[in-house]
Amino acid sequence: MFDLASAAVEGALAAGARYADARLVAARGQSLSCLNGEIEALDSGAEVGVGVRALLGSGWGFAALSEPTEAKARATGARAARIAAASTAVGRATAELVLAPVEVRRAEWRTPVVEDPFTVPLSEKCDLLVAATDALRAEPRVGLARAWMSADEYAKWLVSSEGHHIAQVIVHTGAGMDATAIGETETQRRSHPGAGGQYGSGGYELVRRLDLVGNAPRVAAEAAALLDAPPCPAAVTDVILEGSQVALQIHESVGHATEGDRILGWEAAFAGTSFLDPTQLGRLRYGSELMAVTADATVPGALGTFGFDDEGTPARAVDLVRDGIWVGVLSGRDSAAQLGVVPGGMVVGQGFSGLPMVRMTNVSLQPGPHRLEEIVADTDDGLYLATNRSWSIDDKRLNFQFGCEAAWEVKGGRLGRLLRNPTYTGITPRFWASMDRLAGGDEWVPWGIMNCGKGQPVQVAHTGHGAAPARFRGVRVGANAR
Amino acid sequence: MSGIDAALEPDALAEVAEHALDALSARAPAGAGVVEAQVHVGGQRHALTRFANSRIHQNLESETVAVTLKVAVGGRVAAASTTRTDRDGLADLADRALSAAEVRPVDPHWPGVAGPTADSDDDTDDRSARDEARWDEARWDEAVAAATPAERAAAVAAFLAEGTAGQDGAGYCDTLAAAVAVATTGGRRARGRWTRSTVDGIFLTAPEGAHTPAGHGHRSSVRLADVTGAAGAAGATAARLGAASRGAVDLPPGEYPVVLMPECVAEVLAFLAGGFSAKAVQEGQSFAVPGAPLFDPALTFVDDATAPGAVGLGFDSEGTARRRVELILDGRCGGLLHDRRTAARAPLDGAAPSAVTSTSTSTGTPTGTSTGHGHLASDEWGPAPAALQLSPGPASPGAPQGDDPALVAGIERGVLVTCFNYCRVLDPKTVEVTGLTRNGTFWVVDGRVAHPVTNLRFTQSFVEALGPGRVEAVGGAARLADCEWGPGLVRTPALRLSAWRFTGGAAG
Repeated sequence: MFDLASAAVEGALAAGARYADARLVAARGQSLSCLNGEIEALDSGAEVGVGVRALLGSGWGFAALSEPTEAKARATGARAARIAAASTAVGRATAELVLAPVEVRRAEWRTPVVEDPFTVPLSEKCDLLVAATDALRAEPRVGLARAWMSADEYAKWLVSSEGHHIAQVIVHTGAGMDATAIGETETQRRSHPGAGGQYGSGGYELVRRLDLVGNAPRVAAEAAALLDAPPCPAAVTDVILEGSQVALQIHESVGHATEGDRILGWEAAFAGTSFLDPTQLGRLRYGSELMAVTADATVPGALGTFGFDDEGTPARAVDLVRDGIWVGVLSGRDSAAQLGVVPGGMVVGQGFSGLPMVRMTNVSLQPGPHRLEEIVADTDDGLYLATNRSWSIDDKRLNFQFGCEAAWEVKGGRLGRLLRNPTYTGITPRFWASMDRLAGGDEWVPWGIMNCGKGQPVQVAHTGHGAAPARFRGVRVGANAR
Repeated sequence: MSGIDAALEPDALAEVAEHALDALSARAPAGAGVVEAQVHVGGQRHALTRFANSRIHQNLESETVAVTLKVAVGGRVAAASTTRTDRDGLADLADRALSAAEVRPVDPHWPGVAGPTADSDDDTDDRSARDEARWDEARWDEAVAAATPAERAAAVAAFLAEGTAGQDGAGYCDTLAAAVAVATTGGRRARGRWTRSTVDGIFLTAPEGAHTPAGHGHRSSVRLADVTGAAGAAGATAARLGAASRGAVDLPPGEYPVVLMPECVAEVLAFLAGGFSAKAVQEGQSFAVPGAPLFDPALTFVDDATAPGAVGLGFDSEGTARRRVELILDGRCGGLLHDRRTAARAPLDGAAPSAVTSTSTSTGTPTGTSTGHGHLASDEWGPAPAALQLSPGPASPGAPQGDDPALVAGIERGVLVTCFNYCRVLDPKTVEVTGLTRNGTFWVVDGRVAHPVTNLRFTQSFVEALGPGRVEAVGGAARLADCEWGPGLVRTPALRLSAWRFTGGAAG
């Protein structure tokens, strides 16, 4: 496999590239979904292909091909160089593109796996999902009971013209379930463990830990109860967010905002830009002093963990926010050079055909000193919101609105009445500045998000976010309440 | 399969499909029951030249072939896919599909694979070879397939040339050529190819506080010349709107009359189309009740892959010819989007065909018939739209594509919105959606744009927004417009609506 990647790099260099790297990716995946006790889909996928980047002058080119031979890989490299040449022909002149230096390694890395997900019998997997949905449907008002699981393995061979020679095998596994209670005019859903499930780097041991069947009665009962619950009123109040919702909050309002390529304007036309100005790095107050956010691709078992990114940069931890001050960015070699930072090792492409680009790895809110129980007890009048239902944020990552599946009133330090359709809105730095309580310890969970979309054409990435419950003061809720 | 161009040759892909069926036949266990199979072979060449800060910063070409095999062994169904088209790869594909099917419980809703063309129990797809050739000519442009990085770069240059001082351009020009072959053990054979090209971009200027003035332009077509020839015009639109967006002020949240430009309407229609998927209806998660007058009578909304200028294939992943489906006709809910699975369960739709009235040649779909809206993941996610169209209103002479000044002229006090951003569903039954405006939002007074406003958040039921009495005017010119599901899916004019609920702004 290295031979194919090497041929691609050689083809690019022969065609005039001054730098080239190539990934040969052989991926396989398996996914199952179950609806109301019936397996809806049982799919297995396999793909193999090569993706080559070529840098010619200050122009990038990328070419990808499925089912390569050595000759085709070489031709694909040459094509990448020709594409790079076209890149330089148009547009505003700039200083020559520089790639920040990184350690060149010859290495291997593999996700630690306890139980190979591809060897667990399919019948066992089907039985688990059927049992989970059967347990959900024991609640009569649950009309749709879904359960799903997936496992993906990415074998990558990376070669660069600088001498990188890296083989990796990365495994992502996870599962989830949800119950939808269908009312006359609306539907209500509860999910476990979080919206979309829970995923990580590892094997089937991750699925076993989720205890889908054991949690089904609670999930189903809450979904049904939501149909009768009063709607979340419009108010400005203190909000305690459950951990998986904090994870999404981090993803949308910190992770994306600190992507170096967004800050440089490279994603302006689609995903957007950022409210962050590079001149404010090290000075801007992002949130309260409790706020410490780190991008770390070395977190054991987290979904964004790997040994090396797709440029061959070793995985590392980068502080993004420290004591509430913005101190770092997510970067690759070219964006790091422009921003004057050390490359973060955060460049990933989807499969073999995705152009490698800056991505979140594990962007986590570091654990705090409190516990959820204490936070609730300390809250005189507020809301506890759990599990994401909808998310929307502006193109600068400032103005957001999130909806959750459920909320509970907090009165006099105790959880009270269930409320349906809770939403909350805010402006990113004001919201994070209002965080005054943060849990940690065993309540800090490395949540996995499987559907981060970015780029043109759109690519989907798997990202990790360690998070624990937290309280935010004076938050506007119920914006859609009438 | 050899050669990059073979990936775009339907005949070459059809040969791969036959080899896949042969591999399956050689491996199917004897005595296991009826073995049915459906093979989908898709080849694609996608090239995209992306620009930001007024220079090309990402530039790519990708060529892939993927084979998806769905098998049913005694009603036990499983699917497998691969990018390998060689003998060993197809053998592995068959092995994986068969071993998975072996352990899956019997699927009580398995509809079987499509039979031969013009099977009386299935849809009628009676296209002759001459029809296929005409279809191919309408959907395929060799220039797109052969487009070079230099041609895409030239389109980018034409777009950027329209920017004025202080404006930075960002966007892309892409060319997509694809071919598909479908084969089933029931004798269905379908093959075809299609192309699409797009130029899409914005011009931004320096931020004004939390607001960045920007404007958007877009052109999509089956044909390269339509796009490269219009790249400058798209850039001019983006530059004009971007310049007009400077000096934006905040607008208080509230309900206002709006003019929604085609990109906004495309977003609304794409979300609504999800409610017309038969799976959503059968699961009780849709607003759609065939015949119900939920929408303004001014609206006629169809999914019609056979219409002139539609992008994409004339058949779906199951080899079923795509039918015209009238989703909304004169304001009433019409037909639903079906694949073979949902069609087999169609009595659960809750309405007889006679409930749908139509003056068009297509009178809706008889119960139990696929409309050709299956895709490779439709078992789990349901049938999906293929080519959505909102019928335009009376023509406005001289109106630019999709832009209709007459719509703005009808607003006393309201908002002109050019694009939506990051829309997400809050409730699928009402299609209540939250999102934001982007790339140019303007306050209109007495029929004229008064000044730009900063981006607004909305929370609005799309069903309610297009309800009876709510559509004041339909633009006279329709064009392919971008939406969150990508370019080429929706052809629409602009709309003027009596009310749209903005729930927040830059201040939160």
